[in-house]
Amino acid sequence: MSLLWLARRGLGLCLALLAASVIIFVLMDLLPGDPAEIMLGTSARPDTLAALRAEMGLDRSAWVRYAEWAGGLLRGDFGKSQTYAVPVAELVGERLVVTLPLALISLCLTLIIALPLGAWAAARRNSTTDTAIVAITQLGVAIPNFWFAMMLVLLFAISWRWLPSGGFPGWDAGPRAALALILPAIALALPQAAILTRVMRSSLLETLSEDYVRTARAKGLTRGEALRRHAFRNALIPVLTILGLQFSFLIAGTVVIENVFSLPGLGRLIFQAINQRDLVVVRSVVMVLIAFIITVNFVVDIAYALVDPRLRGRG
Amino acid sequence: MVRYLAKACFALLALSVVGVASSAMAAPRTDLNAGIRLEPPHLDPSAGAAAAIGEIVYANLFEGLTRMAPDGAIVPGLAESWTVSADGKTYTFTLRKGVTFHDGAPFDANVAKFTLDRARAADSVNPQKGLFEPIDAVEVVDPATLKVTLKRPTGAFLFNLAWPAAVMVSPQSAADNKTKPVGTGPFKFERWAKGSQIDLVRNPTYWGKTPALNKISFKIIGDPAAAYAAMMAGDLDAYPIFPANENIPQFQKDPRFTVKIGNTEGKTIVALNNARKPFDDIRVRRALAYGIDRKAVIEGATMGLAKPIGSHYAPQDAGYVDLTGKYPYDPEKAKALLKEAGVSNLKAKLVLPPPDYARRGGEIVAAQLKKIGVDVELVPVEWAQWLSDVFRGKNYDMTIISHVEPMDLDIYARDDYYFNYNNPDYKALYTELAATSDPDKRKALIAKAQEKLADDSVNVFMFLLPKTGVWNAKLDGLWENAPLPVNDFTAVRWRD
Amino acid sequence: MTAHSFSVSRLFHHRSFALGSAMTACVILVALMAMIGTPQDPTAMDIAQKMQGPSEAHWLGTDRYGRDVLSMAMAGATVSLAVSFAAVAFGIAFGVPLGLFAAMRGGALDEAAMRISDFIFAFPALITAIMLREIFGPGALNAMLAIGIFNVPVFARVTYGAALSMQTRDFVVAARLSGKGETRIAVDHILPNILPLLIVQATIQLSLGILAEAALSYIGLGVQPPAPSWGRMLNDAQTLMAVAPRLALVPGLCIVFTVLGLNLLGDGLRDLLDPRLKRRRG
Repeated sequence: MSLLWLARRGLGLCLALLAASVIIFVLMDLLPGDPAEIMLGTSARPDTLAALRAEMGLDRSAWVRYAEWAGGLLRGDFGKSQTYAVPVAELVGERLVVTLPLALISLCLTLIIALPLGAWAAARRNSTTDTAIVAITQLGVAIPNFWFAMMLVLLFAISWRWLPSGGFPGWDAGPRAALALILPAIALALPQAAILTRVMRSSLLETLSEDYVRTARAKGLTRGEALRRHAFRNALIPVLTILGLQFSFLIAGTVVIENVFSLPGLGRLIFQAINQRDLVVVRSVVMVLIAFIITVNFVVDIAYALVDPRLRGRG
Repeated sequence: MVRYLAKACFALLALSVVGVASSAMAAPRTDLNAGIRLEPPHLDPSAGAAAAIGEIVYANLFEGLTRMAPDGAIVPGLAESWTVSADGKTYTFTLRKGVTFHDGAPFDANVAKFTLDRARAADSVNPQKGLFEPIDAVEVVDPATLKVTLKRPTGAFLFNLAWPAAVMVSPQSAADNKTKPVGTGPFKFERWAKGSQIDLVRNPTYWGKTPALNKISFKIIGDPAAAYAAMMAGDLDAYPIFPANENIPQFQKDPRFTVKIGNTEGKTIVALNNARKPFDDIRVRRALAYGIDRKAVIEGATMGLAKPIGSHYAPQDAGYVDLTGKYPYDPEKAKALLKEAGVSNLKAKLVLPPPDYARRGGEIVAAQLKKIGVDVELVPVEWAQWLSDVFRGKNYDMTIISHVEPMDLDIYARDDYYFNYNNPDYKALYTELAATSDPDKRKALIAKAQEKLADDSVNVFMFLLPKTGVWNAKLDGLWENAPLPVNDFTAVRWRD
Repeated sequence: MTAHSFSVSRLFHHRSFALGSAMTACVILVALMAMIGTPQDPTAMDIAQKMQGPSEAHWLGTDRYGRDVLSMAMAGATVSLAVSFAAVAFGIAFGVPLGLFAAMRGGALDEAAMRISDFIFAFPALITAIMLREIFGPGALNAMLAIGIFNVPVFARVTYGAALSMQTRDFVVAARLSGKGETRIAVDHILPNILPLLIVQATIQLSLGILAEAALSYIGLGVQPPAPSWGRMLNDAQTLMAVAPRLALVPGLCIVFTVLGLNLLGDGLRDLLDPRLKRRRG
């Protein structure tokens, strides 16, 4: 039963990946515009265009190109960028050294702000502190991060000139590189921290009302002690789930912030590649992202099933 | 307490940044950080049309047989001199001796022949293959002499050879120039951090005058606000074409900067599909010309920095005639012309490619045309779509676009161009111009061509894109104008 | 948990409901007013009057083309709300039947339906929006579609979870015993019971939709000129930030106000409507 269930979910995973690859391929093929035209511009002659299309392999049928691309992916070969003329893996690697630290810094900021704030609010439930924290998180959730980013630039970079407003000097520039990531990381962290503070607070309150915590309190523990000894660990489960979601958002979903700060990150790579019709790059990078998320979901499902056998009965 | 700590930290950070900047300022500098707006797809100007390629490698890294001077004149490059036969069909170039590529490979007539033959070969992917089309044969006389025979006299041939797409490449390295460009210029390729910057360093074995700069870093900062802050903070020393005209007044007020508003060759027009109803009617096209207030478009889309044009020709080029007064802004006249043409409730789509001049200009043009009863729908597109739908597909009503090729009166004589102009009189005029080599006669014909285009109101001619250069006031030798989209930094130096 | 602490919390949440509904009503009122008319034509340009500070003629000043910022902000409310409402309607129209269907049928179909919604979730939202734009062209409709697509799995999941928990409730079992068909049960018994949950979710998705529309328009994927929109106003303001920060402040504060109002309303509604909380209270 259990093995059968696992096999079915595994098959589902493979089917999902296959479907994703087909959808991405077809979507990209549907995009109007021709990569060769973009490369050669307005003075290009028809024969030059044809020569470049042949060089890029665009003159072959969709089936052949799909098979080649998907086959390459299976072998771990992401192909070669049509515009930059370098392997996609190399391009992604170069972008990840910006995106990954940025995501990690803002994730740390999020945690540093959200966990204590959420716990504090929960410990003093219905006090003025709690109300104030809840109000601030309401505001934090309501502020669009790109607008917040613009305001940060206005204050810290344009008015006070404390921090660079954009661009990334590369890691060999040392501390200046880290400085360049401060404002974007703050801009990304604010709404995430607001959400996480709320999750932390409500999750703690939820666990505080569970029987075993009530028992503990009945045995004479203060609210704060009960919080520390029993509730905190259990409350972290939903927090971690949300955190996982936020991390995958930070890896792929930061196009707007990367644009505001002119950062050479992964999101901008995809954005540029779509505009330049660098089909190979878009397909491979989007496919990797989706595969990542689908696989994480799969692993989480299995983990839940291991913890809670009841879930295995369904599906 | 926490507040004081935070303040102290910020102060320390700020101090360290200032410290780094000022210590760098104190020593006589030989490096340059230049801002560019778009990242090039690769670095081979003979295989890609993106202006960003030429903006980095032209003259700095790659050189051609001829080259363009800051005033747009054609001067010797890797060819130190040349002679032209009496019939204008044979060019004999004397090449410089002792020139080597950055990888040590020698440059001689064989290499030049290889470059020209490669560009015009059947499988060539040169974006400007048309420049080489007049060539009939390329012959190596001896290692220092190259003979090029043309199919017909071509007045612009030396000019063509100065384009970024015509730079000399070595047979050994040509295939890898996209990622590891190897040229003969005073700077060689060092590093490309994708998405952020490209570094060139001085070439110690350069054949010519050693440049004052040791290193050039091109930093890709496309966002206008980021570019502004980077200039203000001193992270950038120069931004040859600053991306936001809005900030120019602030640079002008600041004594740390030199601001030069120069000319490009970018003739910005509202292109009309002359084959499509009702734009096939000259009265409608003229009505549009009367109905668009150039001055307001220039004010709103370029913050007043652009020069108006009245035909498809740049004011700084030889033979220019001022036709900007031909269709003064006159909404009443525009309405009357539309009525005369029997057009009412005209609805049209205006396709807008990504640059600001098009997107912003389009909003203003649409608002103006609304006043003469033309209902304009704005259709913003990316370049990919503009090229395939408008430029190749000719499936459009109107579009706003800047034609950056210098002196490109020929495009109106082409059979299959996206304006769909196809006017036999103009074609005859242009054929005569192309075959004329006498400078005065050429000027007269160029004037006639401009008048014809304005009279037919083929497109609505709006303005010449400005080159808004901003750089550190201590820098010398940057180009004020942009006769080609290039950044020749070979003469740039820091004043003490 | 004492009854006392609940009544305090209720009072607080009622306060948030009151504040939220007042703010939301305010925005909706402005949006409706803007449909009838704004103080000035939000698309009318007057280049000679560009970049003016606040004055009697222009309460919030003018933008780079001399348009009236107040009128643009008002008209922006209409566009923002319209796109967001339409996207929520789209999500409900497809998501709720999908979730109900999966919950009622169970088995392989259940699995398939939920996998599809997982699958949609896996696509990075903004990248999907960019691809949609490239295929269908930019515009309000596209923005609505791009946001709406991601509303589908949200509503499907909420419906699915709630409907599943109803399966063992007495009134459903009774209806099933009386021989009613699954569709009838879903429509007659389950839907009315999960409605409060859907209303709460709709409020949340509305506020997310406002944020998403602003972001899409800001990067040029959403509402197109000359139609005014808060995101576009921010985009226009960006290069002028050093000169006229006011132009970036006005649309930003409009977005914050609207989203804040909707979130407060959603929180309040959840407390008042959520059957689970009600049960606990009772």
